[in-house]
Amino acid sequence: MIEMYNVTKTFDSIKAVDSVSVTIKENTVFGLIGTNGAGKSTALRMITGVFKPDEGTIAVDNMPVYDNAEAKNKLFFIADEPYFFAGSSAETMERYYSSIYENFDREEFYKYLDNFNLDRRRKISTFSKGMKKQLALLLGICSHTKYLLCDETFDGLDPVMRQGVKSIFAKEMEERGLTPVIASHNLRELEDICDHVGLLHKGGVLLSKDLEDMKCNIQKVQCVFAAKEDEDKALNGLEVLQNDKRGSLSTITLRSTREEVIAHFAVVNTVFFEVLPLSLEEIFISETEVVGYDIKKIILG
Amino acid sequence: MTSKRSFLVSLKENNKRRIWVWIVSFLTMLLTYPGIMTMYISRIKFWNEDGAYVTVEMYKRALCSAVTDALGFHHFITIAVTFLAIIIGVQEFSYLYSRKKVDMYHSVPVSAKRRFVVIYINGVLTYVIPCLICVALAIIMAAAQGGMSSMALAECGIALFMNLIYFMVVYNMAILAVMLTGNVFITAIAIGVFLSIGYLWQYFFINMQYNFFETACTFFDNHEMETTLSICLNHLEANSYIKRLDLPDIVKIVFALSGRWFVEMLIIGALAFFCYLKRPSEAAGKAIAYKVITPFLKVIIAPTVGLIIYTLVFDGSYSNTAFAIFAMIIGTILCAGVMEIIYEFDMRAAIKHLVSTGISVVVAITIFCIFYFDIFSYDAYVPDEDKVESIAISINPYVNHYYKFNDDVIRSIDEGVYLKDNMFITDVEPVLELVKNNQKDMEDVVERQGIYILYRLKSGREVSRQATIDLADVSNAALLDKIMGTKEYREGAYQLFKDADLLSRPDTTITYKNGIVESNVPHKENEKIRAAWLKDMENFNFSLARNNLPCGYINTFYGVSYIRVGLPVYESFTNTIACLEENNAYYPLEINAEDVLTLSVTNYNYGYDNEEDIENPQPYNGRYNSYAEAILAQGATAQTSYVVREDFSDPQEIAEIVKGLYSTSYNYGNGWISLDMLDRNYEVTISYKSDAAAPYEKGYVEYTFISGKVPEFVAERTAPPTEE
Repeated sequence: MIEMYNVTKTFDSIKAVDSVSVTIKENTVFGLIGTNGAGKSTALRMITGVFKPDEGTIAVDNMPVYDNAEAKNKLFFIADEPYFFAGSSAETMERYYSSIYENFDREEFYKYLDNFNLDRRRKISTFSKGMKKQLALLLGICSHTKYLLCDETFDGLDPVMRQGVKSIFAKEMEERGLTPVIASHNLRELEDICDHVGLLHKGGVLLSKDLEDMKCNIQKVQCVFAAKEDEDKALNGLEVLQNDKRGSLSTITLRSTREEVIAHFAVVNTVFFEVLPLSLEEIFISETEVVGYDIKKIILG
Repeated sequence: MTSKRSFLVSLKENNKRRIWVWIVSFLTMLLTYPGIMTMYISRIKFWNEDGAYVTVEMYKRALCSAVTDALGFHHFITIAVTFLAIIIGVQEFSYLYSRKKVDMYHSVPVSAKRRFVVIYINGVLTYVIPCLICVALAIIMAAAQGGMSSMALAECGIALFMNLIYFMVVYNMAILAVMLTGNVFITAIAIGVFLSIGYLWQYFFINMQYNFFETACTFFDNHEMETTLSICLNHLEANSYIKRLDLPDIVKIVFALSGRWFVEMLIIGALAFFCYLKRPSEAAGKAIAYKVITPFLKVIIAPTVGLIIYTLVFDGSYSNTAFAIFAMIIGTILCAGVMEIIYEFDMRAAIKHLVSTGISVVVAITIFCIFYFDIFSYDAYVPDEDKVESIAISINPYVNHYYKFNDDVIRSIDEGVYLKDNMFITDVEPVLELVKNNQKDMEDVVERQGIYILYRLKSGREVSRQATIDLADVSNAALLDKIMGTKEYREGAYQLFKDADLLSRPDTTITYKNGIVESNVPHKENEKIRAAWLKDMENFNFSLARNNLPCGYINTFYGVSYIRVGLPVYESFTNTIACLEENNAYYPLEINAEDVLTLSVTNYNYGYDNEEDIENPQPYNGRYNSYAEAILAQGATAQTSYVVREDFSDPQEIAEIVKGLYSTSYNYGNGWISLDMLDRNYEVTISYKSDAAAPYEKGYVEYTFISGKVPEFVAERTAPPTEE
């Protein structure tokens, strides 16, 4: 488990991360969402021990991580622009990482390379941006660290590759309990990968929740009430996150389970009633608007 | 940079990405050792073919000497080592400039300590291995060509050792520069600052001391090895200095230097290591890695630049203090502004952080005031008697030569350096008293003389000062007698007391001169003369020197060297005179008038001069005096309208004149003797007859009159012309 407690990091006079407390549980895919400058990369660099927090503590499996080789042995960090040695090939990088990480699986690495159609002897400098990200991911996966921290690694990967990586993650999570931590500025990139999402904004955490929990506990209802009294009756006793009205059609976002909502509206006189599925995007919009943020601007641009 | 495998594997892995540095190191060393040596040997071979070496032995010696020069203490080696230390130091840790690289290296499971050690050792090996291979190659090549000698081998080994320590200091300095900065451009500036700031401070302090402190003194410093605060210049100086020393002295100097450098290496290395551990990864790409130190750097560097500008402007404007202060303030402000621009890579930043700029100006002005107002009473310094271990003092009014042999080659040593090593006066009270006695305005004192004092304090510190003393002051005379009367002074001031070697050498000749005659002393008598002179010197003191004119001096020459050791002889030196007489080398201070062909007297008539005359000489009685005419005829400025020159050829007049003459061609003793002993208005030149019996000195010899012995007819005929 990775625990960040009250972590703050300031660059010059700008607070990049401000009193962030996040817990990343094992064997989940953790998504760290936020706009550019939200503090995602800084948070990841602090988790991997690249940066030292100004305040607060970070522990990886109960070990402080900064300048602690033992803790770092459980982490592999793929930066937004991964570095490869000048003139190096995938083979060169494998030799380097296999000399660093105790459990680096060379056989698996070359197998994945073949599967992803990456030439082991080709100079990395001739790789496309996507290929470099794939290579970095494969190096990270084959290092067999417990935690794999990816900074914007999935942005720009084509759907086939994303699917490929997803299945590798699933396999590794099942076989050895891999915990990927994926930072991205784009919620849509993470929707189909993450189990748990933390939303960073202006250096602070807006929310950190299990996607499944969020999906189950937020409902969107579209309905037309027969009378104003019916509307009042329907909304009474429910936690309404949002209520848009266009003419007589109300679109209401509620914090509740689907079953509870259906049962609640069953006793109200409606002309039209329907419970709609929410996308991750909509869930975020609703959740963050509650705390006063216009999430559309924050993560959807 | 690994944790999984052994240290050697880590080094190997680290080296894979530093191949080009190895290549640069090998090529540099190849050029430095076998390359330069081959050039030197080729020269010797060329000259040999040209017949420059008469014997095989000479040729071999020249070869060995060339090899020693090439492999030993050579400026090119120093430059190459400096270059490599900087290149390797910067390259090894250059990953810190790149955020991408820092992300990778600092996220992998390797502790900072281990990473530093692996990179550090790798850098040292990048220098050491190519260096040793190339030196070995050069030695084999030299031996194959018959140019290898034990001296060359020894000097090469010692130089290698010194260069290794030197490399480590500059290497550590380069690493520290990388640690403090975030990009290579600023690192280069930082290295430049590290290598030069010591010299700049030294230059500034010495200049300020001499500009504002009357007692400032560098007399006892070794001026051949004085830039101690700049390691690079210090090494270059050492190369030149060491070349003239013999092996034991080389070892002494090298170990002293290396010892100091070793301490510097440890301090800078520890600082670099500490900074590496504390360096924030986010410093990559920034100007300065630690924002907290930027105002401190500014407050150190900007005033330094301002004060150096002050010194340059002060010297350049011939001591215009106000203008120099203005330049200092402007220079400090400009430097502070430039530093802010560099810190933030933004021109607008020049006017930021004006508080630290203001502090920089205040620091510069404060340091200036310390010198200008002598706030720490530098000039008033006289140590307490009980704090002084011993003293060396130079009160020699004449130029003496101190020397040292390197095999058969003699070289001169600065007086201050010799006295520092050889004079240890433990009765310090008269010296301190002398200094205190003369801490007054000497502007109007006519007979004054500068002296230099080195206080060796019991604390181990050495402090040197100069002072000016009033020679006519009776209490000074008593103190000087006390000082000069001590064995410690004599043995420290006159090298012949300690050195019997010079006179025993077959190439050493002794002559006796008194300004009139010059006679040779047989070589076999050298030691006897020395013993006699040393015995006579036991009674030598200031009063003797001040109240008596030397009747001659013993001159010692070694080989064809210009080095001359002169020893004054007084009439009271009975042992010396007796010894000279035994060898028919002594001549009294008398001129035989019959031997004089012509004699010319110039009377400068000091006291008649005034500014008007100097600027616009006027004829008197319708004519210029003869000397002024001669001067005007040559087109020179006639500043000498009162100077009268007369030739005398009448034997009777000549006989009268020569009775009162004393040679002033050699200045021995002239700085001490009382002003009224000689009449310095007169200058007399003599042409001797070619068949004169006595061995009169050849060349131009000047005489003057002993006070009160100017014949009346000479005074009358050389008196200033008067208007009729």
